[in-house]
Amino acid sequence: MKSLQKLIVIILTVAMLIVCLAGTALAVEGEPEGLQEGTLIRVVTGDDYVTPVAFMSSSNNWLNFHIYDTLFTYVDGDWNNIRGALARDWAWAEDGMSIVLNLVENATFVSGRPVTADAVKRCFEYTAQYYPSYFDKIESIEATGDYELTITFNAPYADFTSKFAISFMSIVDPDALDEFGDNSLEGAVGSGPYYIADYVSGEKMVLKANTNYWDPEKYPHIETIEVLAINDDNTAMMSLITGDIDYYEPANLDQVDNLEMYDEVYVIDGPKSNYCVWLNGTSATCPALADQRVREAISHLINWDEVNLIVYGGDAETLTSPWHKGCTVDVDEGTIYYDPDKALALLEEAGVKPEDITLNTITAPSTVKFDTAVAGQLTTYGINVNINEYDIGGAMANGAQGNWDIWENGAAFTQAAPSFGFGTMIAQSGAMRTFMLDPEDPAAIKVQELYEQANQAITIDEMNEYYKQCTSEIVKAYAFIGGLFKPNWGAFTNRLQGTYIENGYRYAIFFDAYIAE
Amino acid sequence: MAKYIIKRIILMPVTLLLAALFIFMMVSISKTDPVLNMLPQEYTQEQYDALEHELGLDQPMLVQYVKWIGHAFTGDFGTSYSTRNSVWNEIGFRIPTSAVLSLVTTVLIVIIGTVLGILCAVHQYSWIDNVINVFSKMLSAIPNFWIAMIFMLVFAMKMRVFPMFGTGTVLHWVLPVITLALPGLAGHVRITRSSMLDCIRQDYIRTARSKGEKESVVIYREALKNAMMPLITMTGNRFAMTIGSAVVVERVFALPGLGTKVLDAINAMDVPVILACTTVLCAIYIVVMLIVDLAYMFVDPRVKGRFVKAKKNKVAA
Repeated sequence: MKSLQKLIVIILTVAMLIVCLAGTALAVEGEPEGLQEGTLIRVVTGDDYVTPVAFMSSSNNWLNFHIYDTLFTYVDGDWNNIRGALARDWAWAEDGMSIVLNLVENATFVSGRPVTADAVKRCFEYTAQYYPSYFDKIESIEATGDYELTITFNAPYADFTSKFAISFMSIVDPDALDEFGDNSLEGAVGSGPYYIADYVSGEKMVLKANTNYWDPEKYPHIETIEVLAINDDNTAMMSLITGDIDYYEPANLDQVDNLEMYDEVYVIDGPKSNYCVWLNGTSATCPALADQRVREAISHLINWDEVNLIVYGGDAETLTSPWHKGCTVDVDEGTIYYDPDKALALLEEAGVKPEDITLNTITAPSTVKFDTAVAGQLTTYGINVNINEYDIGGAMANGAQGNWDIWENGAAFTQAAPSFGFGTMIAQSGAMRTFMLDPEDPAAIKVQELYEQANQAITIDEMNEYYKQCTSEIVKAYAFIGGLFKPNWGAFTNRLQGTYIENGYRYAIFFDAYIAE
Repeated sequence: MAKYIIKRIILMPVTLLLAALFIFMMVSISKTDPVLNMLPQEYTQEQYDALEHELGLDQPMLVQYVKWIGHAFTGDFGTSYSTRNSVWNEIGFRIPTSAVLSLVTTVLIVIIGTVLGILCAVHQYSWIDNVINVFSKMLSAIPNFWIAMIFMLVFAMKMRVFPMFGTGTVLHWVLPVITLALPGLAGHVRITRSSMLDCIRQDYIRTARSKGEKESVVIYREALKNAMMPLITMTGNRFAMTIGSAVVVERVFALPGLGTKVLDAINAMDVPVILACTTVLCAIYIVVMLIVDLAYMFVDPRVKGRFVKAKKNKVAA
């Protein structure tokens, strides 16, 4: 009996060894170890335009991920799940009013200077000028050791680690900023897996692998990444099929369908992002929107399944709050649904005829189809909708100034930290103000109070609880009237393997990418 | 003649100043606020005011214009709002791309268009004339972005004869130049044909033939020389049209030219770049028009005679 047991153990051990060896052999064959010579070409189209200026804007998220490091980072885009990056570990004070961070000691900027506590402190002096609200609760930042940073708060800052994991909280070499200025191309010196080797505005940017990179999680596999600006989608798609470029982000379902016909490319259906539709209760051009019944009526006139079918071939999911399903602060109040009879009854009750309502939208080129589909739903019932198309900058500028009656804006809600989305939604200044109700409106007052309480929370769980209530009030006030959780695609040539689309920002990440033999 | 050239050269900056003023006014009345485009997603009113002041946008439009002109004269076109890079660094390397693309295309149009136009005129109503005519009409009706896509699909994607985009080799220029040339070629052929036909019917051509001149001499020395005037005028206009159409071709073939840059700049309301690009394009156009005007003098003795006569009269007086 014992010899049989021995035999089984030996057979199992040998079998496991064979499997392990085979696995290693396969891994070696497919995924090369160390740095791989060669160039990966990523294409940039239209508004997806990057510039190497440090702190430029959140539109540089993709670049930031590749050339900089943050103190913390999200695990799979989840703000409740943070791991250390430049901060190796950290300890909160019991009252939540200070935090001590220990930095990794082997990280260096590509300039050769070490990433010390003092460097982080000095970098934040620049960052604070661009993103002051992130530093409002910070009393002081002290370098209490070469690699120890003590941050003291003037109020509880429960989501500090979440907020400082956002890519534009990246650590930039302060000596480079001092020397070249924070508005310069030369000042963009980071400690990330890649560095900028060449840049020709509007044409290309060449990133080279940082061979001294410290973090094994993000260690680069491909020597060179070339980012090309090809503004024409058809050129970009054809170039992908011929293998002249390696990566392209299809903008719509038609492009995905076209690309999927070719064996030379594969398309990843990446993480989804939000398209939220808002109504402006303070609109000067459509005063009827001040009446909650009118806003509710409009929300019941949109058949989201149909919009989904028209724009995404049914691949998107219907939103019931500005947050996606499964999100910690998402709440389904059961108020967002299609019911035209109820809508018309509500309008009658409010004494407003559909044909008397004229809604002005602001839309960017990328959202025209979505806005047109939504407008189509409303015009069916006699509501007039003027679609005003702007470039991204124009759309944001008009949005911030409140020059709209109905607006698709989901940008903030695809970001990792919920406080970011709430901040831009509720704050009375900023580029993406969407929660537009009369400040005297009880719903607006309630939302503001809950937002303040969330900001005073000591723990993330407590903060999330207030945010959930905040979401609930916003949905019940019918400022947010529905939306879609839309798919994001990434198309790659077959030679490129190991890529994935980051969950928080929906960008393709190339740390783990390698060129298949 | 030298006086005429000097006078034209002196007028060039005046034309440029007026063009820049017009563009400045157009940009100023647009609704987009470049300050908002440049600010981070969250900003304070103080930050807004500071940036507005830094960019000089808090000053009246005319003051901004005069300041810009003052700097431009010293070669400083300012800093790009979008990239914070020097505008000259943004556009300087693009000028050769746009200039070469437009010039090569115009030369190609003029050479091939003139030859085909003469063929049509000499063989009026023959099968050659009919075939060229049909193709000319077809080409002038097809938009160049469509031609670009078809060429790309056939020659770059399927046959892999030419590269899809970029400017590395001579081969990179073939598809963009042909795409840009074809619609213009059609127009040039038709104008050459009608201009040549007008000349061929003149009495002096009949006289030349009756004197026993060779047909090639009659066509190329007598008829073509006289048909050149409208063709030279058209060449100037053709160049302007080529620069305009180049925007589409540059975009499709991802050529780093001024056209693509000015479009990007308009989208981002990057005023310094818009102004610099349009001023440079105006300057190129003005230089080409000067060359066209000077060419009149070499082709038409009457134009040259006017200056010489004026000089003689002055000496006599």
